Amino acid sequence: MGLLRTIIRGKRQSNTQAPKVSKHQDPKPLSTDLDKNVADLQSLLTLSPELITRRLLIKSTGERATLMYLDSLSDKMAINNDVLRPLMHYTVETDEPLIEHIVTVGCIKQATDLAQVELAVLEGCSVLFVEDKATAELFYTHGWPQRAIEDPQMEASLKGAHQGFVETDCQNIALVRRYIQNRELKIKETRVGRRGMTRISILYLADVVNPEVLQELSDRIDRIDTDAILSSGELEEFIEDNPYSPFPQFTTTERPDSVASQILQGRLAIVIDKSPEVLIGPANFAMFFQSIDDYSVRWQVSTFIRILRFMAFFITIFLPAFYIAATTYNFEVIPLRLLLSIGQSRAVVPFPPILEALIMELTLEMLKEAGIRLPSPIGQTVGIVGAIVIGQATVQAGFVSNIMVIVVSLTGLASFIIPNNDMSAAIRLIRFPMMMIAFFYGLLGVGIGMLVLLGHLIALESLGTPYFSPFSPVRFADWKDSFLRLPIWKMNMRPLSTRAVQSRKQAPKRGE
Amino acid sequence: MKKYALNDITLIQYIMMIHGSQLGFGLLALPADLANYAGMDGWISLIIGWLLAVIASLFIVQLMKKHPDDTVYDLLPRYFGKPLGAILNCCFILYFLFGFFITFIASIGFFKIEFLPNTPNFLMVLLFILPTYNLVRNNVRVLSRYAEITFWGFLWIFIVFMYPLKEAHWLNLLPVLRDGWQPVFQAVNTTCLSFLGFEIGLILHPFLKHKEHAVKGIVIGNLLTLIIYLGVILICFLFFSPDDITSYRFPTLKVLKIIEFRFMERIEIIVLVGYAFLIIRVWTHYLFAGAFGISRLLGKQDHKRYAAITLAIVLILSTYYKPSNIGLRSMLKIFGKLGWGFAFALPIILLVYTKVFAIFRKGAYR
Repeated sequence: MGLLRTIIRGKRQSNTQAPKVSKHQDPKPLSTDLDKNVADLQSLLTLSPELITRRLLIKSTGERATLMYLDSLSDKMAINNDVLRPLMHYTVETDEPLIEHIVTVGCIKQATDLAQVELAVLEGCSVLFVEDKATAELFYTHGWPQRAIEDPQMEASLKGAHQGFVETDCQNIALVRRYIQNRELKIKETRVGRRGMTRISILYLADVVNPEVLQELSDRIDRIDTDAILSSGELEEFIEDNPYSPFPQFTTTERPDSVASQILQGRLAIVIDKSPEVLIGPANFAMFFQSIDDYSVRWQVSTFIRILRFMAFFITIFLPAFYIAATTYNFEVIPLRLLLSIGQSRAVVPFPPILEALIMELTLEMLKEAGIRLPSPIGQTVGIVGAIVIGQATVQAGFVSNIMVIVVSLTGLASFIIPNNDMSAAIRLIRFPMMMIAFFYGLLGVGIGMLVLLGHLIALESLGTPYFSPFSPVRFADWKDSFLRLPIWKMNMRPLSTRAVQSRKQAPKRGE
Repeated sequence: MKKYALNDITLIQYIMMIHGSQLGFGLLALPADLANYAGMDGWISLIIGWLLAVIASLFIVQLMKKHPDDTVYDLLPRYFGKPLGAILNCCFILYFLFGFFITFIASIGFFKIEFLPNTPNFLMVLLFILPTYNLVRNNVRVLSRYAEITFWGFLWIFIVFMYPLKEAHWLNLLPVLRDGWQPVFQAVNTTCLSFLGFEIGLILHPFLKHKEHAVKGIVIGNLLTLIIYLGVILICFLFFSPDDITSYRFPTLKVLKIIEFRFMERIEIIVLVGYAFLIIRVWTHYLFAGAFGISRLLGKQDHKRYAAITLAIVLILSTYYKPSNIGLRSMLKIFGKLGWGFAFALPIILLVYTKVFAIFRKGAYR
């Protein structure tokens, strides 16, 4: 552990010492010479065949100008109709014919620095250099390949909305804004990555969210110095509190409605450009066992399902371990009749329980992994193979016992009902050390394993707020929306675990 | 001046930490010990012991009140000067570390007998070191959260204990004071020691968020312990006959052995695993207090390293040295005597000393 830590620390330090290029590039002001500006930009973007340089004459003023853009990243219709056509054909009846008065593009910005221009062009803006002017006009004529908004794949919902996030951050922000039409919904935008320059937006309610938490998060994001952030998972690893924990410390979701719901609770949403997953923090343990559907079904039903999920958590981690402990050391906890039938089915199995369990649990993992990566037409065969491997055939072959098959199927099933994939993966991993400790120490070992797990969860924090929050520190007020789901009109307060500064979220009376 | 501001704990966490440090080995051994000394009147001794513990606790709070941002490790150098203070601090550190060692080793011995009699000693120590280090490397806040959640999470153990009550013989308790007061007072020594642990208040006080509630907190913490001890002892007394009870080492366990559900035989195995969750608090708190003291003594911020070193020493020690039952008992006795000194006598002496100190050094006193 210590060695590991020094290796990682060492690497991190060398990272921070490297010079930052993109964020603090030397300012290089534009010149008044049109041709020089064009040549400068062209020299920066050499070997980019899609860079278009269009020389033109502005009709209203008669000035020479040059429009430059990356063909692949721009919306050609917009450039043709809203930039080139007005510039070249229309005259405007005003005293001072500014470019803004001519061009019919929504967003226009001025740049005075070559670096700014370069970045804008790389992003898909078109830039207009005008003769004798040291400022360049940036037209927001982006147009890049993107996917249509679809039903979320990972988080299917029965009653919730059927729109999922896509790979474009402004679309994603739009999806969230549709739920929260409030001026307090603020967006803090930064860029991360020297090469990728990924746009990262933190969405929050300014009057609700705790400023310390917000500051902590944006500090952590600012400290990142890497080539590019390609996905939400990468960002998460850079900003989480405990990098050694197997537990996810931010929730990810591809549902705008869950993002909106979490923002309203006082949490922060981190929208990452080019990633269809939005990070939500500060997270707590119970959040990973909730789904947005819980709020749209009857509260009794949803409470039941949540308790079921927590049971699944325990089953996934402890059932194989308990099986090993009970069959290796502590026979006495099993009622006699059950013990007899276990003994009967284990009599033909040549392996010790730990080996039996490891074989079967690893098989289950392999089946799962095979199912994910395979293209769906072949994927169906995995199911058939799985039914043979974890099924009657292995038992008849005398390979494993009946009980083991039940245990494995139950753990598999239990791990799949946990709504969050990261959490489910984490607990499926934890069950292996648990099995080992059960093999060495029996039931006491399982207990101690549970104790280590509990200690770890208690010590864990997400953005400086306790991760295991409604349970420890014990906050009974927050239990209404933890493993329980009481009626919505009972949840008048935002959860304490978010440390929201405005805690009341609704009137204490139910509308009648 | 507020050194520990970022680490404050709520009143209920303070209560749970006091209570958690107390509820240890006594839970198992107390009924037999009491029955040995005082017969069926042991519960009176328990209450007297509790009263003494509360008085000592109150002295501790009074002592700490004057300098609300000081732990005992800051307080001693303040009153006795650097060199003498450091020596006294060393004594406290050794006391806490000894408390850790004895409870740790004794509990491991107990779990070994109950669960894994054939496992080598050092493997057992290794097993228990895992969760201990995992907890103790954190700050007070995490420790207190642990104390809190385990209290709520393991209340069911006491409900399980209620189960044997259906076979209770209430007449066992009568007559009250059958042998007079003499044996009752004799047993007070034992009962006081089962309340040891409240001296963690010497460390905890500056971490408490609302210091005005410290008195309330420490009394309630002691009270919780009393209620649980009293309940367990009464159940044991009601269940076993007065002669029978002394023949068991751990009557509390024997009570559980009779419970049998259709779905689970030998519920006491599960209860014992749960008990591991509770008793770990005792030695982690002691170890924390010790390691924290070392870090203060050396002027370092982080106590993690010293806790790790201590645990490593214990692990190495356990491969060579396995205390016998008698050795353990005598060590427990020594710890009991030390406890009288450090938890009961010393706070009172210190308080008197500070009062005198204040009178003599009225002007110069900061």
